Amino acid sequence: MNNILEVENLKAYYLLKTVSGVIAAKVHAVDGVSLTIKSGEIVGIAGESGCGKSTLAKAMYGWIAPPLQIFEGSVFYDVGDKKINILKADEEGLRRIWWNIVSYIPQGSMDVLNPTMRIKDHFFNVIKFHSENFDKEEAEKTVLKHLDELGLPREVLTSFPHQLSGGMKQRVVIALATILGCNVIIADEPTTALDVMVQRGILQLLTDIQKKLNCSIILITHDMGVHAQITDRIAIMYAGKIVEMGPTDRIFEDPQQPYTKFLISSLPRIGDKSKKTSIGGRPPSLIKPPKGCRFHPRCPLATEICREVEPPLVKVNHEHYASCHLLR
Amino acid sequence: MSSRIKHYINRFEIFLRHRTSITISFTMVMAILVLGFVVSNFAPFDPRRWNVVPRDQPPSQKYLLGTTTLGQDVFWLLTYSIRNSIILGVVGSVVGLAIGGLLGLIAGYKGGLTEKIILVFADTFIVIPGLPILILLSTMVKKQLNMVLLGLIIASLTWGMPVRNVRSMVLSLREREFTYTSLFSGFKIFNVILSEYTPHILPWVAASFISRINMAIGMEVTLAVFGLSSLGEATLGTMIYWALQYQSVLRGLWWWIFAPVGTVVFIVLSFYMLSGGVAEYLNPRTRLYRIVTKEEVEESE
Amino acid sequence: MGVITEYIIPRIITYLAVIFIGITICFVLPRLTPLDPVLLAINRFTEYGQYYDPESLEKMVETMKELYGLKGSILEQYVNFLRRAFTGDFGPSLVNFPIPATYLLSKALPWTIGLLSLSTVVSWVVGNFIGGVAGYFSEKRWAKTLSVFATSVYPVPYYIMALLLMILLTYMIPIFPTYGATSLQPSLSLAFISDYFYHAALPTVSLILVGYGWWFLSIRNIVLHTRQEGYVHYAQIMGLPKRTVLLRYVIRNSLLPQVTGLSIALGGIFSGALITEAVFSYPGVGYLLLSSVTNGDFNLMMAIVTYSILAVATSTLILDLVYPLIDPRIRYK
Repeated sequence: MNNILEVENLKAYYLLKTVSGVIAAKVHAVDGVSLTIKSGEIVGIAGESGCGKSTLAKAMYGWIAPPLQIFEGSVFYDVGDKKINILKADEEGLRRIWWNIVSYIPQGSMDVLNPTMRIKDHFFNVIKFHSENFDKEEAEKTVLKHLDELGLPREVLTSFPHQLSGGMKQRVVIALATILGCNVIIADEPTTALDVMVQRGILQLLTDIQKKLNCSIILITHDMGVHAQITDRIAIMYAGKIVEMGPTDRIFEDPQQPYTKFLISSLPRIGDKSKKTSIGGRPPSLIKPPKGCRFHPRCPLATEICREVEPPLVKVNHEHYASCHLLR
Repeated sequence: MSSRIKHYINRFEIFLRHRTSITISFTMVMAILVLGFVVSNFAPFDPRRWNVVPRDQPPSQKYLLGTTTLGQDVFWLLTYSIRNSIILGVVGSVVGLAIGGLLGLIAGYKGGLTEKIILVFADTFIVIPGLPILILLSTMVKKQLNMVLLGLIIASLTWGMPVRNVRSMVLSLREREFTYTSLFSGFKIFNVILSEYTPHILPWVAASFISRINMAIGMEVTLAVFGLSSLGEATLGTMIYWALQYQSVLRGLWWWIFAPVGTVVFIVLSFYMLSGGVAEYLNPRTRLYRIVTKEEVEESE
Repeated sequence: MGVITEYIIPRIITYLAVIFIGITICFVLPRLTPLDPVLLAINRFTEYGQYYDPESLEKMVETMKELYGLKGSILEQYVNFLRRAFTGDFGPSLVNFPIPATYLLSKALPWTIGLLSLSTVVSWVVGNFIGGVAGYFSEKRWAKTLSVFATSVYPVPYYIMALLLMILLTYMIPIFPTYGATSLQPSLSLAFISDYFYHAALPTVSLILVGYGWWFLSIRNIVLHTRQEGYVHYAQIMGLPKRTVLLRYVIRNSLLPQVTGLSIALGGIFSGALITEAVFSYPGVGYLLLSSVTNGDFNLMMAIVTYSILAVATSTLILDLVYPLIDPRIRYK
């Protein structure tokens, strides 16, 4: 299996400016993140709200809109004959990569469909602007076939978004993401705000797609239960950095980093009646992150070195990495 | 006590410096108010009286804005006119806003038949073109017109929009979670309205109040064209009326017509700018943004 | 069919109620004042020292009362009034006796309709389009300049704008004629049409300027909000071309509240047109209204006021009924 996506030391910050243009604050949302995605695998990115996951998703996709800015790093996509850094691509390059190589499922799928456009027009727009010749009949056939494959009813096409339920809208968004076939899907919180039954259906849909297209999925969510269900690997994010990364079952059975340990132990297990401890404090400010290890203000095992020096990501096991000074 | 006053003065200063448009428009508005309510008291004679000064004089050192064909000093007449126009503007604005706002509140809360009846009446007054009715009304009460009455007439035609605006605000606020939280924790509805809703309604009320003054002044000027304003009084509209009646434009008495016209433009522009600035400043969202970034910037320093 | 019962029928009911209430106000207002139009009219006749014997005076009062619709009890008067309003009979114009008031109105109406439709359509379309684009690119210099311009024309009252234009462009720089709509006989010839436009230019421009300001600023506000919506971001993420996003996603959706805004603003726009006509002596309904007030032509005034209410209410209704055609959220439930 080859690497389909390589993120190298990505630093993406939000620059908040005052009315007169003076820079008031710099939010270090993604602060030196590196990871690789192989083809055909489902990788989860987990973490609390505000840890930078969504920003990482946008940056990996290459959608950099002010006030977001890339300060350092690169995101390479394997487009077959070469690798392209999407952060440096021009408009033509983006058009080639977006939706053909990588698709994006945004957060809050309830509101991403144009209320005055029928669903079929959403599909036609995508197809029209990513291909040379647009034939309406051909396109219609393609879309119908795609919907059938995904198990979506055909009536959806002539509907308007407000006529569909939340779960159906999410499925439509997933169908839109995969209509042109792609190698990577970045899904940002695809199951939040849906009830558990619908969630199950969505996750099933995602795994079906993964098998059919043999694509990779990057699944971003704070819901550890979702990670446990379908991901092959997980990366845990905290305060803009990846603190642990590895195969899903290893992370759940043997978390190394204190933060990960807290995350895993907070999940209820059948038969486990022990009292859960929660971490005190709040996630740190991304404008002025703590010195040294970012978790140290809340970590009960923090030592002197944790307060001063940032721990590097070290290999704990095959494919399992964690960053903590206590791992030596 | 004095620290409290200092605190308010400080907040006011922050408001003024928030945007240049606020500083400028506030200065302009103050200039108008001073002219109308302070300077007007120093008039050496009643500016409305005829033949007090030589006629048709262009602006000079003695007669700052010239004189009219009726022997009136344009400058002092202008100060009186500003005062009267502002008075009728404020009356029309406040009364209409109060009535409309109250009905809108009731409509939003009561719902049902009450709401529907209020809405139908409010819609009537929104849809009906104001001018013909205004003219009809003014023709009727021509003899007894004064500033307050004019203001009331204007209010009676413009109370429709506030009903709709306040009602829609109430409808959206009512469903928000903090309403339920307050109610369930024992607040009475009236207190909820006062303490929780005011920050959200306040920007609209402030902006609406100011823009309605503009509207009222515009309506009075319009009435004057038809000769239906209180012609014996000095208002911006009547000044224009008399200036036109005596062919000031044809006869080259440009100061007589431009003084009131220019003042109206000055007033509406400055009031409008101020209302926009106030609304933006009071908007709860921008306030939060100001607080948040200020805190974080201070922390990172 | 949900749209019919939930949207159309309530609108029609409101429309009928509005007309009913409006006409009743027209009826009630004059009767609230102590002024007696009959007395006023008689005074005017006897002003010039003519003598009328009591009997013929009596008869005149009777006729006057009938003409004014003041005969009989209040209820009789009301019913009479309603009947006359719907049959278009407001009696003769008192100044242009015995020409019926409605006839004068019908002559003036086409002029007003022409002026009003042209200026409203142009200001709405142009204002919305330019304002929408300016709102989307709100950081650019040209957008800010346009915004300042719109801010300066928007608050100016219709009357002042008309007056300013008239003074500037008919007196100071005499380009345009000072009054009237045409010096030629109405026909379809090019000469007539160009002459008409020459005369109607200033009133039209005056109305367009003020209207433009309002539409520009309101859609700019809407677009500032719309361009942050999830579906706009999604369209950008999908890589759709900027033009499509701007037109089909942002502006198309921002126009919806503007259609509603138009139906609300119609009353004000109509009044503005009337006043502009009065300033330019343009022979439409506004000018007619001015002369009816100046001459105390009561019947004519009543006719104008009543029909104004009817016209604006009906236009508003039509606009409201068209709205579901463009907003699928109302049309399909």
